[in-house]
Amino acid sequence: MKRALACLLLAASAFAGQWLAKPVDDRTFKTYLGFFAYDRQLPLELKILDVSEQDGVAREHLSFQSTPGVRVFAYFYRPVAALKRTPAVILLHGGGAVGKAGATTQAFGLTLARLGWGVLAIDLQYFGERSTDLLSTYTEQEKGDRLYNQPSVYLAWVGQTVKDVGRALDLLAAERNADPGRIALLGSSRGAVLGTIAAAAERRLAAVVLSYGGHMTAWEKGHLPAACPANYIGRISPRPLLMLNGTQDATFPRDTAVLPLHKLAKNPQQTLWFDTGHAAPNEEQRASIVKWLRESLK
Amino acid sequence: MKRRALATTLLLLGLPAAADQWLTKPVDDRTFKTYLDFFAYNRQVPFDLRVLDTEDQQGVRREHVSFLSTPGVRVLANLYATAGQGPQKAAALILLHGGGALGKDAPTTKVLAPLFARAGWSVLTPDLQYFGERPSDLLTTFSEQEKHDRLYNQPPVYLAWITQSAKDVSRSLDLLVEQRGVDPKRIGVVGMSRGAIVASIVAGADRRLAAVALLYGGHFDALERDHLPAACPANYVGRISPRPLLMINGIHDADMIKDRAVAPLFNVARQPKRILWAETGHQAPTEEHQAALLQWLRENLK
Repeated sequence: MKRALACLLLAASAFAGQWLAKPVDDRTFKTYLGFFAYDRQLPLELKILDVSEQDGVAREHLSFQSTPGVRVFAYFYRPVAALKRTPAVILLHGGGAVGKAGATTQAFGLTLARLGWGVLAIDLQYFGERSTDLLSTYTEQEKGDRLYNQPSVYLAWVGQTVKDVGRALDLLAAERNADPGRIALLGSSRGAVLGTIAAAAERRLAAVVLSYGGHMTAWEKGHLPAACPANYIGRISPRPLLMLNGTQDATFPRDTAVLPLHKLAKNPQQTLWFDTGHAAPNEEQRASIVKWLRESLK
Repeated sequence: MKRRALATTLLLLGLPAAADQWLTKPVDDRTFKTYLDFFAYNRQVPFDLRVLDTEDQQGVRREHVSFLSTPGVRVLANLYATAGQGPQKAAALILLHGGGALGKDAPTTKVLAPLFARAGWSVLTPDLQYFGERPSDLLTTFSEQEKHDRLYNQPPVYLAWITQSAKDVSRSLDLLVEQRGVDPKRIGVVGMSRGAIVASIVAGADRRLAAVALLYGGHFDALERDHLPAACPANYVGRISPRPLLMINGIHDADMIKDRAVAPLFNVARQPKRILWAETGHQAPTEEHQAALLQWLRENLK
């Protein structure tokens, strides 16, 4: 029985790169979409947990039902003065224990909301306020052993995330006055890996920013094809894609994890390289993102 | 607008108005293999098996248990076995209940499970997600209307349910082998009504199930409109072969209609296969067919 599992892992690891060479065809991709579909008629059951205000930005702490029995916790940032329909951004955090409450995500939330955007930063399953027994220490070792390097658990997680993003988009349009034609996705690190997949699967997202992501991290061994960014990144086009990466990134090494994935991206796309390691975008980089989002979501 | 958007999504997914195209032409092996990726589960997750209570009745011991199926998802189940079982590795059955609110504690399951146990099998009857001791807000009245509106006729929700059920059954099999010493080559699956639909899919997906009995199941029930191809029994039932398949159905069944839902599905199944027709509606197998079922199981799970 352990042998069967070993075989599965072996198959995953031996071929983790095969989809970089040749992504799956449209028929297989369509099969994936069947598993990522969700029921839009399910009530969102939006609950506002608390509201705070800072420098002209209001932050709602909320939760909503994504799929039957599964609640997503999130922060919604918006300009205090907003009356009209706004463009919006869905933020996907990196692999830190605090999820949406991480410093990078908060900085993006405040920056974008100050400029007039609605911003929904969701907790990914198992992170932040959606913590479970699966992850407790949030060390790279634990996340690898229990999630990233468990192909079946990882795929289920990816599938839930794609649904969560679809529901986040519904929530923004239906409940938070966002212009449904101008909703973008911004993922950081692990959130960028998942964002690649969610963006290809959810075609209503109008623009996509992948910040310090890649095909997989240096310590990931493999994944199932339905959870491989290589099978998705080329399908974001014709919607605009911006990728930011660090030349010294040891988590997503440029030559093995980033360039081979970027090669599969189709136009319109733009890549910004910075002379950094695996980092949070600094103020200057955030400004580039904001400028790009403005142009892409006119 | 929401409804239109959903309709558009379904259209994009290639869902036909009537989900019977796969009865004519099931998906090919490449697509089937993709489905299997989504049914994969992590065997290293600890079972965390808990025995909640135990009851002895007429020589059969029923353990009320729960175990972890996938991260954070706990399955409630009953485990039946004769009290004085010998040390030899026993054969076992996984019995899937129909769509009643009581799940595994429904009368039919409570009759069939001890019957199987007395005949020498260990029997695990898990609650399917949303049923029995796994209730949720999704289903509350368990009326046919509600079940169809919220689950059976919601293709994405239904596929997610099928996927979880497939994992739950595979974990049930692991549990029987690892925690109860059952011979892994002698585990069959029996499904009743909705449980038979689930069983036809699970048996196509998990090749370790050695024999498959579908009681009053079919392609879909009379109130179902659509399902995604990955949740369509027609794409699985032909893949049960070369393992033996038995179907028991009623010719007057108004839920699983003979000519629409049952005969076409049996037609896509491959040998060895057998179907027994009862002069009944949608109900538990007759005593005569219970005996035939036991006989068939004895021959096929030796």
